[in-house]
Amino acid sequence: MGRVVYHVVGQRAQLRDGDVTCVVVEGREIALYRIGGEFFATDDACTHAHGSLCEGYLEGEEIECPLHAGRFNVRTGEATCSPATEALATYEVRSDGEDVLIGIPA
Amino acid sequence: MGTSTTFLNERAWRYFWHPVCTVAELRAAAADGNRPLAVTLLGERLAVAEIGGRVAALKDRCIHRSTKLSVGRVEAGGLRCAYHGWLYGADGRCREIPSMPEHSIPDDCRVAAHDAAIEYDLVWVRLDSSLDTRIPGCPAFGDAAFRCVAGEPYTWPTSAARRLENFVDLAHFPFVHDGTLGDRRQPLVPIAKVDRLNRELRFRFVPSPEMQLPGVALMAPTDYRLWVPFTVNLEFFFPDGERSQLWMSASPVESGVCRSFWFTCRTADRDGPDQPHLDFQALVLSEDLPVIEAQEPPEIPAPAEEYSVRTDKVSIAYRRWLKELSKAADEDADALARCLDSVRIESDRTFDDMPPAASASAAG
Repeated sequence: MGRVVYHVVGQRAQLRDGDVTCVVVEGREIALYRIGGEFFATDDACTHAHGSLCEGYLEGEEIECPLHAGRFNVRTGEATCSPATEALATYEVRSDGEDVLIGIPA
Repeated sequence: MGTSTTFLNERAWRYFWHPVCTVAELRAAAADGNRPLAVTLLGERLAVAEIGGRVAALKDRCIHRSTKLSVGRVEAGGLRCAYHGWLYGADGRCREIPSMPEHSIPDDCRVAAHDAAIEYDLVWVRLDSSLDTRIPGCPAFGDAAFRCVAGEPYTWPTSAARRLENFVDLAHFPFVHDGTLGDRRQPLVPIAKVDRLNRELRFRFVPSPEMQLPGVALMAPTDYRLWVPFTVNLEFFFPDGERSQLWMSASPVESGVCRSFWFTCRTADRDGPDQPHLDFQALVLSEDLPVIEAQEPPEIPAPAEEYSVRTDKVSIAYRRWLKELSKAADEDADALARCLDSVRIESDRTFDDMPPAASASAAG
């Protein structure tokens, strides 16, 4: 594994539980999720047809793409429902006090 | 037959104000033998009347023997049922039972009365008052800079949400409105940044030079404001500094049916004839209706049942908020209020009316 650099993307309180938002880190568009106080991050672009997952529907740990209803587990990135078949890249998320940080391969 | 879908929960819309008729329609009924007006909102039949200077929306069913109150008559003291003459006040309480004049009438002898108000020369009704919702804005109405003309309301065989989506859809212009609002040779559309704040979606459409249609229509930069769930205002900014606005509220009559109330407003030629403006809108509507009434189902279905693309950006943001509101309404009014006040800012615009919490949510 290469080196990972953590970037502050916002404050914990900015994202409601059960919600997803878009952040841009080092030029990457990333979907940031908050589920039960825990944060997760994946690529924003669906692996099927580039729908923006942060505009999608978060149900439990699954994000449903707003374009064609493909689904992914946001913890693992695994594609869980067609037409999505290819997994999403996931990123580590850490909290430092109120700050939320996403780890990006350097 | 429309197949029912569970994507959106119509019950959520009961907490919102919807227009049900024009004041002119209400007064025309009153002038025609003191009749109330029968309307339907979210499948509920209502009798609307002005009683003692106040507009009232009563459940359209006498509690005694279930005759529609809308076939009764309006009197100074209330609405009198046609069958046995029971009289109901604007608050729904029965005031008089003619066959038993000497008996006092219990408190629970009442018909359901919903919140009703007049705004923009329209009658607005809210079926459930347990959430502090407001009548949507209509920025040009009452603004002396604008001449506002009310269009004839129209009823379409589609859901209010589909009607609204059609109103904010850009990619259909070149096909449905070829030569009117668009050009088939120029089908590209910009992907807007959509902001959510103050219970509205807001976005801007800035046409590229190649979207101009000389001699057809002037494509002007347009500000969209969409008050959830079913009201929208478009403001057009013309190169000469003049502006116009087009406002529409789609009232959810019943499943698969909506009635649209609308205004066309302009700063230019305010003393000129209104008819050309109404005629132009009538032309646009006549182009939209055949494709809208052909949508099956008339309600917005689950995402898996339609194939969206990225240029459906506005529709996707709109559907998502409606879905969130639907889910919140399944919980309780507090959850719905939180969802309604949620803020998502995508653009780099600044808003005069940005709520205090919004600046934080804009980060990222």
